[in-house]
Amino acid sequence: MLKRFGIVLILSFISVLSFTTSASALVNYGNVSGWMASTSVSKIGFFSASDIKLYITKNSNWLMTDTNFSTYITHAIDSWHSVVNKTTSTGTSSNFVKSFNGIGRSDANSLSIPSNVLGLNTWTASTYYGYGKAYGTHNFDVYTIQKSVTYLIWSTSGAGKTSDFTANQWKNVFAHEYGHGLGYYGHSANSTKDLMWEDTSSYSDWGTISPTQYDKGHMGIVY
Amino acid sequence: MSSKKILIALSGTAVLGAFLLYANGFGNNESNSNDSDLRANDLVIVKTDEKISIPEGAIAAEGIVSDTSQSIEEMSIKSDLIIKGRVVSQEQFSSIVTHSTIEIIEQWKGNSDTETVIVYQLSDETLELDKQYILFLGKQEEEKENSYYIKGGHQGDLLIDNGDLISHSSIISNELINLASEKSRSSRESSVEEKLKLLITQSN
Ligand SMILES: [Zn+2]
Repeated sequence: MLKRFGIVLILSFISVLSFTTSASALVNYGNVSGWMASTSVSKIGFFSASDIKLYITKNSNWLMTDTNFSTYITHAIDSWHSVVNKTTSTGTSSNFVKSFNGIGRSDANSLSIPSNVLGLNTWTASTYYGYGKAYGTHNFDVYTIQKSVTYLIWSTSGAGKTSDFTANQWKNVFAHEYGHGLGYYGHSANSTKDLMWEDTSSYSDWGTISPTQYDKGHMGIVY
Repeated sequence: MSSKKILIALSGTAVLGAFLLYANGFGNNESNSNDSDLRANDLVIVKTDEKISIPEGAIAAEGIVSDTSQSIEEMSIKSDLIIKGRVVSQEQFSSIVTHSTIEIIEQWKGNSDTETVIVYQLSDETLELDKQYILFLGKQEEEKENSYYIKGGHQGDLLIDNGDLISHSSIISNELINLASEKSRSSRESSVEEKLKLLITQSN
């Protein structure tokens, strides 16, 4: 009898232990330093997989050369690599974690995307993972991102014209969007020199093409 | 146990330990490198003309825009329509785009034949229902006559809040602060909204 009671006790201990250590337990990041997004922003995300499977597509209306497209994507990945510390490999349409999709302005119009948008990023199938505080008072939530999708828009006219962009302008756009793709939600409230600053007009010299130490510090909270 | 057996067991552990150390060290070296594993000429670009479908369940949709301005004056010159209006309804067009219907209270620049306009926005930066705004708008391409987008993303929406104008853009916010502190030339233009209206109607 005593032996049976002992076994039940051990089993229930194990089940409690496995429950508390399972993914459903939220992680408390505590009071973090390095938060750079504005205080209207209350989320940040990250990829939990150690390998980022890439899937890259283009349609007929994306007129950038494959060489340039590849160079800018590699620039974006390299520029964030020291923070994210993940490997990258070639994925498929079903198993990718990060996708880059080159489309044209007419495609963007059919999706009702505002005419001045030249690129955008979305996270899908994300899970609530944890929470933390910035500046002692600002609460934020942490999500694991299952897939993140970036659209880049080739436009030959209008407010969102991109066909005349220089290599540095594109590197900037790709690195900025990849920052969102990796989990940087919102924009830097820190400096106009940050890659993740809100206004692209601050890149009037288009000198900022890589994340600054502050951009990296913000993502360093979750990576 | 004989001393020979102990020696074999010990050396086995040592070999395993050495291997683990090596494996660990190797992993670290790799992750400290500044390069991704895929080089530009390794990337596979898939050409597809399938209909683009926005993924379901997106929780973030953030855009980068090409028409940001360095000042309110620049933004108002670039705008097709500037209005004071109220958000009367909103429709989620897709998981990433929201359409807001704005009832026009005043027109500061341009001419809209309709009493309302539809504003196209990415879903993470939508206007708030029932709130009043000063909106700097550009005509949405290939869409109905009264369809617009907001100039410079967040730059072109100023929330009217208890006589104050609130902007998400630091460039615009700073200019509004300066405008508010300027001496009024008459009692009619004492509010920051009246001062802004004067600035815009003069620069267009
Ligand atoms: Zn952005």
